[in-house]
Amino acid sequence: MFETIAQQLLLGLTNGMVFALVALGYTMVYGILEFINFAHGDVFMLSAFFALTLVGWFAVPGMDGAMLAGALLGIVVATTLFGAGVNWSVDRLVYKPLRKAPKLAPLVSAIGVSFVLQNVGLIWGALKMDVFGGGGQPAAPKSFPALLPTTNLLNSNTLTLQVKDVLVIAASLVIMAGLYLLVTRTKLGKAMRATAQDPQTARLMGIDVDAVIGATFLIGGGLAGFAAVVYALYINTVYYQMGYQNGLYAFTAAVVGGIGNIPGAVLGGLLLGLVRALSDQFIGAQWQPAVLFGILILILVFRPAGLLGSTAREKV
Amino acid sequence: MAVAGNWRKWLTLETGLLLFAVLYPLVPFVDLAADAADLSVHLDQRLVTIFIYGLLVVALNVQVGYAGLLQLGVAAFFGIGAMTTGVVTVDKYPFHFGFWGALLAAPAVAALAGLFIGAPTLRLRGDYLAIVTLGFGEVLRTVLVNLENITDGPRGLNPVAEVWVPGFVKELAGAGDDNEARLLVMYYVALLVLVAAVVLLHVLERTRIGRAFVALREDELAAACMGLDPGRIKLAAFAGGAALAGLAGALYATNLTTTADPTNYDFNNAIMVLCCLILGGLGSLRGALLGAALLIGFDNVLSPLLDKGIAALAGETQHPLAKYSAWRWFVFGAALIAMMRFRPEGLFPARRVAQELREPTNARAAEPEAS
Amino acid sequence: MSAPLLDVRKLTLRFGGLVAVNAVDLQVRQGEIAAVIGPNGAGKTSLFNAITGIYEPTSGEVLLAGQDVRAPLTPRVYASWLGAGLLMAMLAMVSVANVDGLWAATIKMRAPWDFTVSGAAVDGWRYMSAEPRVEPKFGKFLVVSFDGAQVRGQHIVRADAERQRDQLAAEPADPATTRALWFRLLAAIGGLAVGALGARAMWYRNRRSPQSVALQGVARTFQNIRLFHHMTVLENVLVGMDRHLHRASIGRGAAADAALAGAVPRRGSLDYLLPLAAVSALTGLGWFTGDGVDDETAPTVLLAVFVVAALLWMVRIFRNKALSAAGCVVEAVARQEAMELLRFVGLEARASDLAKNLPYGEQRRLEIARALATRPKLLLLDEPAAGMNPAESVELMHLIRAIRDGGRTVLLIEHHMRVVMGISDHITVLVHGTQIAHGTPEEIRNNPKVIEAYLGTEDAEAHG
Repeated sequence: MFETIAQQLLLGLTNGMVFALVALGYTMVYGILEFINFAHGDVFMLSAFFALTLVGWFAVPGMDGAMLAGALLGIVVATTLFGAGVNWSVDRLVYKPLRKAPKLAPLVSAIGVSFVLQNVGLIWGALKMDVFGGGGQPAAPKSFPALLPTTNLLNSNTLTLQVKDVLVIAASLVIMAGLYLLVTRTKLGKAMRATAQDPQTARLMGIDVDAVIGATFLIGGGLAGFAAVVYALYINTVYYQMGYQNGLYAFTAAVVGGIGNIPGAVLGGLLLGLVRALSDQFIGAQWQPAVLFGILILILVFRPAGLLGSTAREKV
Repeated sequence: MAVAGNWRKWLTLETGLLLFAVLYPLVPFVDLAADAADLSVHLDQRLVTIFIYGLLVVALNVQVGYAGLLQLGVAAFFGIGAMTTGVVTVDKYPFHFGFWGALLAAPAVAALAGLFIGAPTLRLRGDYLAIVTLGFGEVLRTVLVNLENITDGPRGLNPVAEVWVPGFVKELAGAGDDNEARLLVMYYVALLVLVAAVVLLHVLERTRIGRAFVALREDELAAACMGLDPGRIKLAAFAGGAALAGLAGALYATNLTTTADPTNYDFNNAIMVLCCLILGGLGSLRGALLGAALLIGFDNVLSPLLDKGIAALAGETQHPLAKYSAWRWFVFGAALIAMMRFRPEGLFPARRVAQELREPTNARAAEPEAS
Repeated sequence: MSAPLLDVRKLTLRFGGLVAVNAVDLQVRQGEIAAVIGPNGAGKTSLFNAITGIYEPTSGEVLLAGQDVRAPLTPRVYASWLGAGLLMAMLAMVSVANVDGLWAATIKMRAPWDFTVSGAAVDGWRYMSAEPRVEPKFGKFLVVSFDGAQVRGQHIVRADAERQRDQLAAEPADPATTRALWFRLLAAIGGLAVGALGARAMWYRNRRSPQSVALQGVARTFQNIRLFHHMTVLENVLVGMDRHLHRASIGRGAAADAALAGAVPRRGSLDYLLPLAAVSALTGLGWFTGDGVDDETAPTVLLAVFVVAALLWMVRIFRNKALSAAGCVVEAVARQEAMELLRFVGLEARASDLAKNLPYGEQRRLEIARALATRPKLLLLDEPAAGMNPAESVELMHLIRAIRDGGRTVLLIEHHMRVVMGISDHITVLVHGTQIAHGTPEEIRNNPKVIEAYLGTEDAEAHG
């Protein structure tokens, strides 16, 4: 019993890291634009496809040792850039012209982008590559080769802590720490916080609000891209609808932590990961969406601003 | 008489379409044309689908268009309606309400569900509400799939009670067999329900409730300071829209004679309905109906033709992307983006919503110089 | 002496570290015109927001005619919390006990023709209390444990199975069953807590809401005009009248009768008879010829006629009948009243214009008309003269006096000293959220503290 719970907590922690990485993208965009970037989950999904394509292209599964590590590092960097690029282009092409429109417009557009990207994922899955199973069944889940070592670090039969767990957690922590430093210590971070508080005033103070928004999308997309590689390496499955489900969970995590709040997103992601692992174990995986969204509804009833957020007052 | 006296007033797009819809099944050659095009199902059955989705779009319009609540869970209420219809009419359960009973029960249950999900979320702002309703839709789909003892899981409950009309005699319709007669009755019942709902909402728009919706949409705080209870109005919109969506669900299940796979009531479906509404025009009944007709018509009537056309051009390739349906969500998504960019008020907008959507958020009445 | 109409006691409003309103006392008596003045940022609008329920005060209270404006904690409120709690408890218990299994044990267990409500209730009780139950299968009856695993053999006769079930029920329960029961109880308690606490949290959050304050007879205008910009002027006023729009509000008398007569159109009975005749004729035809018709075209055409007639009939009935029944009469009366209000503020000529197209001064007056439409006891005006020229200001003073003479009490925030001094019965001065003076216009004018607070800025304020 104890081992089961410990094992599930470990699994939850790793999953929670991925949620947190994706949730950060939601929360940063929301903090600045007050709009839910529905398509964020699909940037995550496309990044996973991109990583899988690279894996197939360079025949990574055949490598070993230093070659493998180098290839993995390259894939992580390339996919992070890819995610950043996709997110940024979507913003420039679709959301930017709608900055002054009523709030409904960007939200509906984001839903539209989400569907377009999902369809792109579906088409991508039809590539005639071995990693895509020859492309005959675009909608079927693709298996992502297990490239990380799965050696158990613990001297136990019932409890496993694999090398890949440690890698995932460590890498995520590094990225989050980097983001924290970026937001709190750099000039860009200061500009982002100023824009989040009051775009009008920020503009008057000489901050290039457009550039800040662009940077936010870049960073959010990069985080999603990074999370996608981590997720693919960890879960070993990639499919075109994975962005929708994981995106929703990540968004829930952002709301649970208090949307717009960067530490909140991490906290929410971890909490959600843990709850998910425990509910999968004790309630049943088929009830997963019900449990997670039930929590979302409860949070919004009792603490609409989330765990770390503060309520904004409407100016009258 | 009144009808003869001002007949010109009646000669509008709406009455024209209504007349077409009423007379359509009685004109045999249209179906012959469909046969010639080698469509496996007769067009009037596809029209029934359009009516049902029209009702669904009109239902969503109550929540999104009138009250301004961006609600992404409409498919859940649709599913509740269908499932209620299944439970209260199938043979193996002891209820046996029959079609008309189900037509009352389904909206009632859906409205209750609307209240249940609406009550805790009243204070939420637009996008939060969107997510919660989306989550509710996901929860409901999960529940429907998992409670296999009740819903029969992916198979769906069947057979759902057949549609019947008092005094209707098969031969009267000139229909050949039972199935054709059933389809014909279904057609008219769906049309009738749709028309009744539209007329009801048309009246509603012009009463104090309709006005309260607009006031709430424009400025919730000012409306509250006038003594309007935003919570109650939102709940009314939630329950009303849910009831109509439940009604659509009842018709859907009856038309299919099964409650079908619960994945029919998932988020994609909700987005499709939202697409129709946005294409047609938020807040506009005419827009909602025409949006449903265009989009569902396109999806149901034209896209099989497209697929056939592509197959004829490209030969019988088995390539998974060599058909329209592989690109369906691309088209819908791009349509949403393009609409929001270039014509956010939709093709047939309601006057007021169009102005609201066209106006930049910060262009409210100019503030005076500091006094 | 009766309680003042508005009694603000030690009201404090704090936003984080900032004290916007600091222990302000304010009394306004019935029939007075009172004013709150003070430099920009003195907390005047925040005070209004706290009075009208938009902000929750940090401390202090607002009384209206001696009554706290917050909704009272009545037994009904407790009952509603309990109700929400019980609902959630039931849901939680049923979901922990497995809805699916419960359904199978009650509804699906017997054949549809064997089903009785009482039987289902008994089965449901057995299921929820984890007792073994009898289930039919392939013409035989099994005794089944609560979790659905079969425990005792097969019986042809139901009575045999039931006897065995009762025997089994008498035996001591196994630990798994007991555990499941405890778990259900736990879920019920949790559900009760979540439901009741959730309802309580939401009630407390809504305890002081703008709408409840408005319903108690307080209406206001806004500093930054908040009209319904895309509604017409008349519709704006009608929204204000919304709470009075029901049949009872028309009352009796010649005006009401005239409105009633004008609103419901007279129509010939043929409109009803024609479709009815068509329906009955067709139904009759159907019954008579149901088995003997082999001509295919005639019935088809008749059916079409029937449907067209029915649809037209429905459209007409709904459009006219429902309009009048569902409030057209009330509407007609309300429109007259709204027009009168517009005349009162001098906007009757613009009734059908969109609110956003009005010039600034008229928007302010429309806001006043909209507020008056709620028939308030107390009217709060937030800088009604802002942006008005001198002539308009004078008109506004007349208007405010006329409102007071109509029996309403007025509390206003204003920077135009001429307006404030000209119409107020007494004035309260706020500086940095704190009340520094209170008295008649004459006293305020001569108060050294007030002069100090305004020193150097008075000219700018007075002409802004």
